[in-house]
Amino acid sequence: MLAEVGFIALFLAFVAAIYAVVAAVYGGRKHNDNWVHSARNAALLTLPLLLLSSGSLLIALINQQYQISYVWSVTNPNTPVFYRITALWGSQEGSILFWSLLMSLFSVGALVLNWRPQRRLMPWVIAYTMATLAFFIGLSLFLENPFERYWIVGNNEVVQTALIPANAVAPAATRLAQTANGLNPLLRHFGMIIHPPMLYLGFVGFVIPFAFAMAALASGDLSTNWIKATRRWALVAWLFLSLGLILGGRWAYDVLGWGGYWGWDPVENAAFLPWLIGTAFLHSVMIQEKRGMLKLWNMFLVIGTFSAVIFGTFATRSGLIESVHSFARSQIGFPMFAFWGIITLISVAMLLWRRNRGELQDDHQFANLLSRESLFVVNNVIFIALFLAIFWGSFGAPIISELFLDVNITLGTDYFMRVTPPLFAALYLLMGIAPLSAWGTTSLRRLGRSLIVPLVLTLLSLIVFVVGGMSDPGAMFAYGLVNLAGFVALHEIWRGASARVRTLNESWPRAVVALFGRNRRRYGGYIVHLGITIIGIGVIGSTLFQQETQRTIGLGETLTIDNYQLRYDDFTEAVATDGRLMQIADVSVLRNGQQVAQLRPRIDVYPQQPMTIAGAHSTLENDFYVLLVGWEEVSHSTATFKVFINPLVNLVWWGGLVLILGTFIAAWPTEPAVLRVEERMKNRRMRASA
Amino acid sequence: MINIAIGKGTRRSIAALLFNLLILTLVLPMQAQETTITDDQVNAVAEQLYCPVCENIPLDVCPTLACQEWREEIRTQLASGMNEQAVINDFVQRYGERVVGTPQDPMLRALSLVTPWVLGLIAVLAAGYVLLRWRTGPTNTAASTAPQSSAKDDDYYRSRIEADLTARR
Repeated sequence: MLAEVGFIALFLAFVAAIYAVVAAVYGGRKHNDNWVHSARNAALLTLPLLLLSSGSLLIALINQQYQISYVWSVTNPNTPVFYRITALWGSQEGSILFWSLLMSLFSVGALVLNWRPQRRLMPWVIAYTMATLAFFIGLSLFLENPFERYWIVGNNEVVQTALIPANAVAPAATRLAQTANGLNPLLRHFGMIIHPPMLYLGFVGFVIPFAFAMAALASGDLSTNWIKATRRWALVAWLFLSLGLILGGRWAYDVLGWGGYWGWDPVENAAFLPWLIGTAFLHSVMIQEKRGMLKLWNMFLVIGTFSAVIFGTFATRSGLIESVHSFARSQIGFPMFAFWGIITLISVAMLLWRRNRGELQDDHQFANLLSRESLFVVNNVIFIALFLAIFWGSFGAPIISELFLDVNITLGTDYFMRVTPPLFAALYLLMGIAPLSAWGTTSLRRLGRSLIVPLVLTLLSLIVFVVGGMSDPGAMFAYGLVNLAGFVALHEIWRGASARVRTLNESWPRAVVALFGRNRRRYGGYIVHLGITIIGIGVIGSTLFQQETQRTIGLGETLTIDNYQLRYDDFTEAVATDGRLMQIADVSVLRNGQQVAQLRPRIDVYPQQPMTIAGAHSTLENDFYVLLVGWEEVSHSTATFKVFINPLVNLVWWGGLVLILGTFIAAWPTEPAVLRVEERMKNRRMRASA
Repeated sequence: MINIAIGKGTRRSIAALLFNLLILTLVLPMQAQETTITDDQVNAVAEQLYCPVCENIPLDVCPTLACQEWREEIRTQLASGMNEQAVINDFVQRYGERVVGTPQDPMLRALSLVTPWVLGLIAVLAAGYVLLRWRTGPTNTAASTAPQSSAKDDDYYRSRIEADLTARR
């Protein structure tokens, strides 16, 4: 029953999305309000239908309906309820359905909130969002159907189909339960539970700015309307994408057992690429709002972001580049590639068409090289250069060499560590300078004056580092750039607040709150910069100063790394409630002879695969990170450990939290939504009484 | 069509096999201490190589039995007097360029490392061109930035505005 309900609701959602596209295009072209309204209603209908469909699958997962092949493949009777819920996005079929649900949620949100103010764009917004939604629902319906069930037909043959075959009987429920797979062990981690939904929210979120941009091109309303309508959507999408990347890093750090959080894996990079163009867009869009410039470029960036989102999804799920994420490989590669190619070609063609009609010319001239808009252009160039370098390393070079030279190559960490650091350094430098320059024109003297205090603070911080024992010139240079960006953000906040304290006689806390309240976008942006600075400090520390060693030691013996010792105390075996066998080493961590922690690095043996679970002693200064690599089989008298000291690694996660806070501040509506609703209700009452 | 006729007993056998492989994998380092080459020396080479079978997993962290054997092979090669580069070259010769993070073949290496800088240079030149054009080129007037619309559009929106105003009254 659940499978039928879910399948029919999914089919109806597909029909509604297709109808919405047709009605919106017809209504938009003919200026027929009835058709546009009808399209909107169909678009709104997709949300309850997809909620019903996803809800059916969720109930089937919780209630252990193993006849549904998806339920059978991602859960088993030992799976805890919590993981049954997260199994909704635990494999290809469920994750595409979940993606469609989120896409519908965002589309409905954009429709409801922008229906009145952006009425002229709406038919085309509906058409683009619903076309994208229809494509993903179509994938679910025709290629990756999560409602397929097992049936026994003819000569005891088992088939898997969404529709009931003739003379079919369902396999015995107990037999299905006994053979069910269970969730991929790699996905049983907090980071991996939240990481996919965050990434999907980031990905689908960028569909909204894209749809508005395309609506602007289609309707001819090329003013800043589409930007005003989508700025917050872009920020929210960017926030989720950032969160997804950070959580993915945390998952890799905890679960993959290699002592790091970013391996330049092509699938990691596929999620990072839209983030790069999206970040360029968030900066560049300010130039169009403030100065009426870069209209063509902003359109290009928003198309590029959407294109990167679809390409990333395609690369992740098609097996284009094999990686640890290969659980998601399937037959949907070609349709996704076709959709990506067609939508990108249509978008670029429309952009060029408007450009050739002279409708995307800038309103102002560029004044001088130090103006904020010039520095933002340089910032965009660096983001695009980073995008190209990472795209080339992840996809371009491996694909080209295989296609044209018949050689398989891998561009790994070695390549990325050669190419990307100068570009990241340039970005941090600009992050330090650009906020101090003014729109229109800035003199070198004025810019230099604004930089004096942050520069002095940066120098002082470097002196502290030197006194603390740092001598690596590369690290000093990198920290100099990163610290400068952070001190500029802090100094700007301090300058604004102190001006309020001086002129309005406010207390410091009140001045800071008022400052953020008056210009959330600007000061939220500074907090984001601060978050990126903290992440940068963590990345430099954990990359340049990481120490590692691997040794085999006996019970009671110690291994030494830096001023730490690891002592092997004991070895135990246990079976967890979900059936996995755990091989656990008990170790003590000593620093300068004093015990600071007891850790239990272990190996979990699942039927599908073993997993290495690290033990870590975390402080703000560093992580003492231990992996159990091997042991003497019979007596456990010796064991092999791989130990890392990861300096400042926790700043990567703390910086992520600061970044989230800053984005919230920047995206928070200036006019409370409550007031808007109240005003709308008041207007309605007035109309009714009239 | 999926065959689900894998019984619980079969699954237990597979699990047992996997477990034995794991034990073998984990026990191998114990036997490896006989040479004077340390695990750190082996890992220093292995982290520059990728597993020839798995995709995009560095050899020093790959948990499979095959990778464990390759790490032992590195140990043996180092013990026999080969230096790091010679070991890497040997792996490339046997398993192809995909086992290293940057190709060893000079042409492929140049293609891989130079291309991003060429692309970056093109981006910089394009930006420079845009900035120059921006400085000297014509800009839009306020009138020309207004949305272009046809008379038909105007009629439609005029009628909509009238309808909205009537509704508000």
